[in-house]
Amino acid sequence: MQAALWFWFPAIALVVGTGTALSSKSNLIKRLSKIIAVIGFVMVLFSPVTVPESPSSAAGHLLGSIVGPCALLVTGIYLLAFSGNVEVGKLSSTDRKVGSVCTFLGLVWLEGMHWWTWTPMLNGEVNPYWLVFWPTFLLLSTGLSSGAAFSLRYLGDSREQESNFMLVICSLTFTLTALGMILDGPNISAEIFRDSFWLAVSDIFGLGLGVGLSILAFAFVIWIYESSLPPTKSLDAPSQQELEQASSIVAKHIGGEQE
Amino acid sequence: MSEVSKTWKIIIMAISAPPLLLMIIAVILGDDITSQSFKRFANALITGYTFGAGLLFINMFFYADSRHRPLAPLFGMMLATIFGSMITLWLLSQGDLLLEENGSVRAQALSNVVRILVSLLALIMAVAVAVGGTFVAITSRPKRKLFEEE
Repeated sequence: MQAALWFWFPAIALVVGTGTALSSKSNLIKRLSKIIAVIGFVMVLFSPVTVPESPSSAAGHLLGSIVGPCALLVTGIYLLAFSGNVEVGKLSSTDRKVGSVCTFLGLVWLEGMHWWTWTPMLNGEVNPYWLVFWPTFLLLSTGLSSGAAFSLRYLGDSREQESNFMLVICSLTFTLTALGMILDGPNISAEIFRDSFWLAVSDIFGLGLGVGLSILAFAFVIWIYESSLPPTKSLDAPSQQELEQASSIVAKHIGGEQE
Repeated sequence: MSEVSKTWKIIIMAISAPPLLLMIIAVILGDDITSQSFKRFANALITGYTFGAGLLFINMFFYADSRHRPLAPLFGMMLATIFGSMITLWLLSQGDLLLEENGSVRAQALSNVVRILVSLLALIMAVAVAVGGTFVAITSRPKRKLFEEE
């Protein structure tokens, strides 16, 4: 009951509030949804304090641990992207420097969580959800960066330079994952990382297949409904009188005045 | 094969090749795919299905809005969601079949939901890095001349 009150309801409020804030057209509902999402977020963050006995509160602990580096990374990327050659709303060169620093610090912070002592620890052990987040993030970043690199090369026009930049990001995440499998960190051994890696692979494949099946079910339900609808009644061909009326209306609206 | 489908095949291969290479490295390092991985896969599959069906059930309300609010597809999608939940609970209650380190069906179901949320968070961050990185690369380059002056 305590876990429901201090973790699950706030978590639902966070997800529903964010979804409604992004999708609603009404400003009032948007504002209310944002407030609900922020309250939910704060309560989830504090769940390791409010319900320490619940295993789910480890997710709140993870959220609190990664919110800093993730915010730095996202802010950095945003500042870097919009301080470049954009037509509208270009940011200053100072923002570009701040963006570079934020991105660098965000990356170092995240790396420090694996390779140094900044690992999210809960009750003297590595937070189990960190071992879900980190390999999943590395694996997906590697695949998506590689996909972006080849998309730029094959779909874009003269985008080799940008494609090479994305290949560098792909190589970086690939190397970090491979190193994690080979070398022990201070809190996470290579063996534990490899176990977590396989679990992350299983998670990604399972989720992809599960979501794909649900989309198939959705399409099936709509197809069944649409095919059960009676065919739409087609109109009879226009009569001679209707054709004459239409042509007289058309004739009135074409031609115009002589210049 | 058309040029477009060839390009898409290359892109899909580009997305899947590095993760596959990492899996090969893990296998070379001596790891077998354990029963835990299969359990995780099955848990992720049933949770992903139920989660996706639930979201699409909500989405069905928007579909209903454009079709004079018929009840049949709403009911159909609700059945699909309930079916997913029932299957999930039934499979989890089959002893050791899908239970991981959790002692009860409820604990496993809740753990699955938290894991899916954490995985989604990782997905969002990975998309931010890949898409954001692409934008950074594109906007960092000096403006290209579209037309040469005559």
